[in-house]
Amino acid sequence: MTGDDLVIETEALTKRFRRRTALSDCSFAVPRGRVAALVGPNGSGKTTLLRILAGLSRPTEGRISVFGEEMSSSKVDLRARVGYLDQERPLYPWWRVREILEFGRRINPAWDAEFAVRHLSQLDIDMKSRVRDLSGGQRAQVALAVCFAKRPELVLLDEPAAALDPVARQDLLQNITEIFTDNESSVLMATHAIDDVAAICDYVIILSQSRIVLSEDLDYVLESHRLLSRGLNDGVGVPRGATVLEERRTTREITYLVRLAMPLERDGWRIEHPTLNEIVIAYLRGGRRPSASSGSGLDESGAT
Amino acid sequence: MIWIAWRFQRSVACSLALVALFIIGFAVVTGVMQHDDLMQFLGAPCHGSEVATPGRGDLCGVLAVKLANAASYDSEIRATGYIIAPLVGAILGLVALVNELDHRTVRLAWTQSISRGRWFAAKVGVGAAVVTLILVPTAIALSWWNGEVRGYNLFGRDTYGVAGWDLVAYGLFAFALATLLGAVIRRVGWTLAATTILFLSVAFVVPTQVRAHLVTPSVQWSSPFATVHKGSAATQPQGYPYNAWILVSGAVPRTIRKTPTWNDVSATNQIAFRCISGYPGKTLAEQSKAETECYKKLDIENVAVFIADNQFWTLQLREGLLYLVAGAALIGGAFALVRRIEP
Repeated sequence: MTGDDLVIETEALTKRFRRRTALSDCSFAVPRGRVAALVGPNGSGKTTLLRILAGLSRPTEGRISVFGEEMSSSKVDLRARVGYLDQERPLYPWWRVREILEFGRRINPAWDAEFAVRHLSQLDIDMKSRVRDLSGGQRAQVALAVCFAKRPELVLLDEPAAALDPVARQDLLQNITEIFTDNESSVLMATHAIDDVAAICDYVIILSQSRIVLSEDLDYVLESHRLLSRGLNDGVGVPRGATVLEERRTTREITYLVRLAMPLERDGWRIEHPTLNEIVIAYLRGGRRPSASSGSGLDESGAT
Repeated sequence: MIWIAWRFQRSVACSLALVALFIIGFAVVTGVMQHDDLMQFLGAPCHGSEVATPGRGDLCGVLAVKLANAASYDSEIRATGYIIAPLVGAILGLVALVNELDHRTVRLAWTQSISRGRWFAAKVGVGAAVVTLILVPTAIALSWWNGEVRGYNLFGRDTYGVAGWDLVAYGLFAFALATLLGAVIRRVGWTLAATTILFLSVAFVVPTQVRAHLVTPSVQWSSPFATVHKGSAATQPQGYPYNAWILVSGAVPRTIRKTPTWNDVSATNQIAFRCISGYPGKTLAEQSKAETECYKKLDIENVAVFIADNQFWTLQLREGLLYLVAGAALIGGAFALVRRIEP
């Protein structure tokens, strides 16, 4: 993949806050035109990474480029191409919705006022309402309208559906999908709701303990992971080319969630496709790189 | 961007403008009434005397009482003048920057297609303009009230700050201070506390330690013997201009080469006292003679170091500029911080 095909590229990105390391040696890339999910537990560094990408924060070490350019707070032209929805939805509470849109219009040259008004009207959000009087879901929609009306080529969404009720959450995700389709933007969405990832994303990045442990196409991720099960006393080793991510035992059976590097031979295993949820949780629990424990035909993971 | 900055500050700006308008209105109404009463009292038939029209409900007595009553709220008006400038400056400084940092709404502004520099310039520019627009008419009203109406010595500690354009400079300085401290502290409450403490410190230090050095004072020598007969050769000399600001007054040797200070006066008093003690005689005439001889022997003369009232506006200009330069430096510091802040 060439640099032109990438909207985001990081190299050994590290961010430290005094004694705490928020991001450590993170290298990953997001291809153009994708809806990428940035998945990780609380405190894993998702928000820090998005703020660096949005130009709000600087990396302590490493390099970060957006559309092939080094991102910094002083690059207005580059920031004009990036939309950012903060986790806390920082809107001016005393302003009316129409004033928030006016704010966006006055400082964004590519502002699409028609889109913003249409989007909020469809959701029955009154332009005369003050932001503080809106519900959490409505506020998120206003913030989303500001983010997308800028006509960004890259959209960074930090927990866009957090703290919303199920209906509002579903509506918001639906809106994101529609807007993304209309705008042909690339999206990087931080979330720890794996259902959201499965619903709208086609690329997944997993952050665990401040490190990137996976950054791949979602279809490939689903295709390259398997659940292998056998009886406890079958004595069959983990197949070659399979890296064990997680091991589950019952009284009779042992199950491995593995990442495959080559086509799998059955060899007496019962093989199933894991859900995305299972894969992500395995990576988050392990917090380790896939190469940590590779199958070599022997049962290296301690199976009896 | 100016619209955005104004939209952000307008409710606070309007509230502060109303407070200022109330102070201006009160100063103008009371000032006109007092001025009118004073002119009547000084003119015929009272000619400045409350007993000129004897009897119950007499005009001059009533005028004298009204003027005395009016004087009772002088200090309140002046105190209000001293409060309004830093109040307007500090509150608008808080609104301009730290309020956004504290509530993290800068994350919205700083991720739009605008540089932090332009954002900061608009915020600070509009804030400073509002401070100026509110305080200029306030300063004019209070300056007129203190000078024209009440005829106070404009150099008085409680008058100087509310009797000229420095009121505006104090407000702009408080604005800059709140802006810088906001960029450092990033919490509204703590910034307000720190701004108050620092502003009060500066407001204490400048009049006591700095103000007198901003213009070259006049030095006036006079013979001590003209007042010796009144009791003491060290009494305050007469003749310096009306409403001047006396920096040093007393007796020092004429041979002193630098501008006399209070220390010189104190040292001279001790030398003179020792000299006078060496002379015999207990009567007032004998002591007066001893005093005269000692002063002649030691070549002591009365001196007054003062800033004349015709230098009032020069002093105001220089002190105001000092505050403005300091304020500009604080704003520069705030801008440097804003470029580095990670909200």
